[in-house]
Amino acid sequence: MVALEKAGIPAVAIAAQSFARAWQSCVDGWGQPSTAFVCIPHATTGQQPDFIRKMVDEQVDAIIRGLTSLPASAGIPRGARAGSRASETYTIEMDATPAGLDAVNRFLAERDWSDGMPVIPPTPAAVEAMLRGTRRNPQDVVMVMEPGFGLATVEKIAVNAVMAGCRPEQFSILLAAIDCLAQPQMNHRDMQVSGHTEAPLILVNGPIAKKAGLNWGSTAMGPGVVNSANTAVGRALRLCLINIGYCKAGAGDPNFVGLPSKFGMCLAENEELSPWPPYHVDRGFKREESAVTVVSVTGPTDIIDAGSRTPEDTLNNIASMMFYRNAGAGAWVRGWQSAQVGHTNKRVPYQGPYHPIVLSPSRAVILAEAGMSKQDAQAWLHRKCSISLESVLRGRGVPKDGSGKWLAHPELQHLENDPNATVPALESPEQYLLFVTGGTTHYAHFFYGTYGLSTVGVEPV
Amino acid sequence: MKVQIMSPAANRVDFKVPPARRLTSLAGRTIGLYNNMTGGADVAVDRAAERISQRFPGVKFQRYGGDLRPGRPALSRGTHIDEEEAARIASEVDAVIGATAH
Repeated sequence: MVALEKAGIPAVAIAAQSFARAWQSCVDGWGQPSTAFVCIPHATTGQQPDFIRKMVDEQVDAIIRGLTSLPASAGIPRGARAGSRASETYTIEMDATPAGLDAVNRFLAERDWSDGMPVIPPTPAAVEAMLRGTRRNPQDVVMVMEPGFGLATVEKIAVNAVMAGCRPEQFSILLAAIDCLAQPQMNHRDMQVSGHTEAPLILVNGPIAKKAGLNWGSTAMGPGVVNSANTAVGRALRLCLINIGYCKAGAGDPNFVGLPSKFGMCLAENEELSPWPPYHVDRGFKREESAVTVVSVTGPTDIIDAGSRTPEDTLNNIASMMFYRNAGAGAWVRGWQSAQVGHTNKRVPYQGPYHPIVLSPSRAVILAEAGMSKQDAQAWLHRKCSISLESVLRGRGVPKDGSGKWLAHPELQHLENDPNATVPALESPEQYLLFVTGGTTHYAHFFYGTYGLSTVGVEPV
Repeated sequence: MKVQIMSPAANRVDFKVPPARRLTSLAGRTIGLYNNMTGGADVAVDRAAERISQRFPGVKFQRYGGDLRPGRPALSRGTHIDEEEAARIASEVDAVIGATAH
């Protein structure tokens, strides 16, 4: 809508009430805080047409007003603006009383600069120590984080890392994760502002995992002192998304209810016990190099399986998790999604989603002992996880050119009227992201991927 | 004890867009209806058009959805209008009503 205002014509948007603050946050970032929008009580997805019409009827006057008169707030900028990149400092009085001990947390909470849990005070000394975990210049901008278009300088990331409880030896992992998010195929804007719940899952490979103190054994994704590095890195990324990206609960972040996974997720591969080469080797890195992969996901859900007796049974049980029909299975038939890059005119198509399947080493060994490589398992899932083409077309159809020819996959068009035709749920076997970690039990986790994926090397420090 | 802390909040890219001039009336105008291909958004903009037609004589509508660039698939969801598409729409209509399903 802001692009239309910029092009010189008035625009008004209709959105659900729960998006009101998120909308305001987005248009603030887009530089036109008074862009008109009207709220209807409920999201339209899945509603009957008559119900949608009734909701819109009550807003017709407001829609007309949006096109014919400017709100009083027009032109007034909101929120922090660019100036010096150096961080402001504040002096807080603390003492040993309960209120005094909580003074820094209250100061941050009053400004909505927190994830709601207590933090480590980001003192200049602590931030300086964190910055020793990288060779990068503190004022280098790693990315522009949306929806607020905040400048993610190395220093600002370090401030948030301190707050999360990170140690300097973990900082390069966090920076690499943000390097990943900066890649257009991550579509981090949509990850931030979608109404359904998505969160970045950080996957770590190589020697940095041990140096950073990450746990890749039992409970690695759960609570506990042994998992403090995993928790701190995941949490630090979330604090960056809140404080740098301005994706704040209810404003910017419009999730209908959220998920615990949004507090942070960081896993390292159990390379010692995995029967297969590490994931970063699949992505073109050497085993002795360190790399970070980020993929946006919802979930996870545990795949409980006490009954499988063969590799095929094991994979069948995993495959049973894949059919979440209206959320992307078979969507590749319509063509790749694309992500717009910042304020620019550029849009980048990307392949997605990637579904991370986190296998315990024992589960992976069942497959490997039967002679299956990781690629064999991926190919099996790709072959077996298919979906009715009719159900893909029924939802949203496919884009066609003027002559009715399918734009994205014309080679499939002859199946259009075949009620028995099926297509793979995901376009490529690699989109089943097999990652071996955790203890030696027979469980697995399934994450439903949403957008693209990125892997980058971790800087040697 | 006094503790000095650094702000975790980022400076933002300084990007300002002036609001477009508003229309004096919708009568006789062409209004774009944009839905971003999310469920029910098309129904919402169509209803707005229906009601506006009843109030303003001569108003016309032009429908848009998804990725509007030539030869590109109208992608499935969450499609944003970029500057190129906005310029095209602005050359064809006088104003736009948009909707998102979420």
